[in-house]
Amino acid sequence: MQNMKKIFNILAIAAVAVMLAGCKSDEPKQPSIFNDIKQDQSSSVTAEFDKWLSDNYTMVYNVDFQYKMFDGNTDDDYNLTPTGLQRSQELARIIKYLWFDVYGTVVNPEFLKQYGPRVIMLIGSYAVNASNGTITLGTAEGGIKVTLYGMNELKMNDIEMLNEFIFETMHHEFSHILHQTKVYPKEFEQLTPGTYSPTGWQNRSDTEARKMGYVGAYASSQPREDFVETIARYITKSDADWQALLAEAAEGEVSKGVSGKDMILQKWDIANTWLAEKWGISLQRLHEEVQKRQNLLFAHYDDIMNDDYSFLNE
Amino acid sequence: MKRTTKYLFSMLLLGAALVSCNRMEEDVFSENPSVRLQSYTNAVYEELLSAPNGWEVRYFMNPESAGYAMIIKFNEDGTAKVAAKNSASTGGKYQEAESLWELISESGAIISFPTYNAVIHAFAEPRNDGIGLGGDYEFVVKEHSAQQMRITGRKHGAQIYMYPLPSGMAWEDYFAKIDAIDALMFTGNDDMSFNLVRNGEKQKVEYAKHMFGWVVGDTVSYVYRFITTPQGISFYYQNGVEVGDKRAQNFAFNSDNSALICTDEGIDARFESYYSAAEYFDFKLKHKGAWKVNAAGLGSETKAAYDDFVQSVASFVASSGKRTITDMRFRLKDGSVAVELNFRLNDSPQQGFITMDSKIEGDQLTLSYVSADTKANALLLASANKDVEAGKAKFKSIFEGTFSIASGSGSVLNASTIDLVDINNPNRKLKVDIAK
Repeated sequence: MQNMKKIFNILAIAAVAVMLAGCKSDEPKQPSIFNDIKQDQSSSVTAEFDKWLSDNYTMVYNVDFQYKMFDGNTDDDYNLTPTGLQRSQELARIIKYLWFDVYGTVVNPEFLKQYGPRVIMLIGSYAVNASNGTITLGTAEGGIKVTLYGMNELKMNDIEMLNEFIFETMHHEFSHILHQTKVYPKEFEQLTPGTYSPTGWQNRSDTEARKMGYVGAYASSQPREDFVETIARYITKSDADWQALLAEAAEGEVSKGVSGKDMILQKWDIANTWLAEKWGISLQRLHEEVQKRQNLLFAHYDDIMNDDYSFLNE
Repeated sequence: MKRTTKYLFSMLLLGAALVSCNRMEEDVFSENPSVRLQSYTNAVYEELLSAPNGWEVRYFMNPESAGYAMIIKFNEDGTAKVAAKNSASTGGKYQEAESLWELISESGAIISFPTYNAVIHAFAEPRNDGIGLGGDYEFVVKEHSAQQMRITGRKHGAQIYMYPLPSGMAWEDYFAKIDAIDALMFTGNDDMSFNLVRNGEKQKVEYAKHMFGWVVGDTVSYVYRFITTPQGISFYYQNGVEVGDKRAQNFAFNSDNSALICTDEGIDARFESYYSAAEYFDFKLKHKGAWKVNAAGLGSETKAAYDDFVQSVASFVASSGKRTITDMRFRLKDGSVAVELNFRLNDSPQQGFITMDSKIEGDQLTLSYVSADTKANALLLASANKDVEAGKAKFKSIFEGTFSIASGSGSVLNASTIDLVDINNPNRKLKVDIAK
């Protein structure tokens, strides 16, 4: 499993998006499948957690945080299992701290209410693509629902793993949502047009891809993945790791006199300008806010679990 | 394509719903469909909660799998405790796990476990192939009452029965009863042959991993999957062996555990031994099998002799190094029965063979020492401080004699472990387990 490449899927089916948009309301849609039966939700062991989700996700960000997985609501092409309850409770708080509240702080909660995903669904197992030896980390359906896979497999004290499986995935998927609303400049697609490989990217290592002017192997699959990966990697990587990534890229030559690093920085410039001009968002500020919160995560893990964020103001 | 199909289907449904709104037809039922569905689901919900000690679940991962016993206790606070003990999902150990459960009302009632439960979801983990064991954890309720339910796996479609576990039965005792039933016929007994006797006619059948099967001619094979219960075995839903125009679904052991008898009314069917213990001992030796001495099951005199031999070898340090015996097995070597002595010379695994004169007559085995190869001879020397004749005597005190051959499992149906008892001295007993 560890050798499997990780991919993202966008299931932007126009018809579905239109149908869902037509159903859009101020409150997120509840799953249609439950709960008109006698099960008393107030006596449920999850009543307190459900209220917390309502207070912190639904009311603030208009998001339905789905930690209960109903197999019938997932992609039947995969065999999937749910996330453990305690793991979900931890993840709900960490995802709020390191993703939703970042945008809530750098932009504002209303921005996410309007453009953010309406549903976050946690899946415990990997989504295994046995035919090509990959696993899918996340999917975004029609800009509405972001699904995160492999949540039971996370090491909760490993920020790189959390970034890879959750936060990169969420920044990646959210960037897709944004560029599906306001398109990114066509010039981006002309920077490395000859080396995108939708089916062969998994045969490239990250290092090889960087020397070709991509932030990672998956970015080399197609331009829209390249665009969102450039944003997601920059936000989640520490300054040192970003510089190391660029140093690897500097060893490759994309065209005469243009290194992989030069190319990545050109792509970064386009993304940065697009976010600023189209959305009024500073990519640098997003990066800084994420890095600040990442650096404080493990020292204040218990505080975060207890909803005490006072340390952020110290 | 799949999503397109679903979309079109939804549109058709929507169309049908709109059309139906225009019709003025008299309701067949007194309540509208959603109320009827709600009452149905509520009834199932109350029944699931009504088993104070939980439900015995006769779980099949899918229609092609063998069955695995589980117990599930549904609680009103939304939690469910699930227990199992099997080789497939719990590593053979008793395990309990708690998670949430919900009853979903969706064109029927669906039992779901929407947060991870290590016992039940282990059957559905995708693993590297994306499929894993191919089990379900969402179940459509097909038949329901407080005494019995039939549920169907939502994705893979297995038919599963559930029964309330009797009050007062400890969960671990339930699985201990199943283990005891398995030990009589199935534990360690993969690849065994049995006779299936139907209306007096015998059919040789092969057994492996809670499945029976046989081949007729060259092409037609039959496979029958079952689950072990505290009473005996129960074949998969409507998959019992054919007896005339009926199917024999449920079997229990007779009083001396010599046969598994069909308990379904009006059906004459039973599973009996195909091999006697002596025949099976001989058969496995002749088909590249081995019988490993079980040091924990020896008679008192044999145990003393065995320990003395092993310890004497271990304490002797030869110029070539120290030898440590790891196990002893009966095996066919160059056409003759031999005792294979597995040992480590320093850290190097080695084998020595002592050829025996062997004769099976009826249910008796007579063994006598013939010769030792070089490596075995070194062990004989080590066992008696370089006195090879004394070493042979020690060895013979373990293995020479005339022994009765009988199943060591408590049932003639399971000869995967065999007791060899000296016909003149019950304290001279070898217990051997089937091995490779």
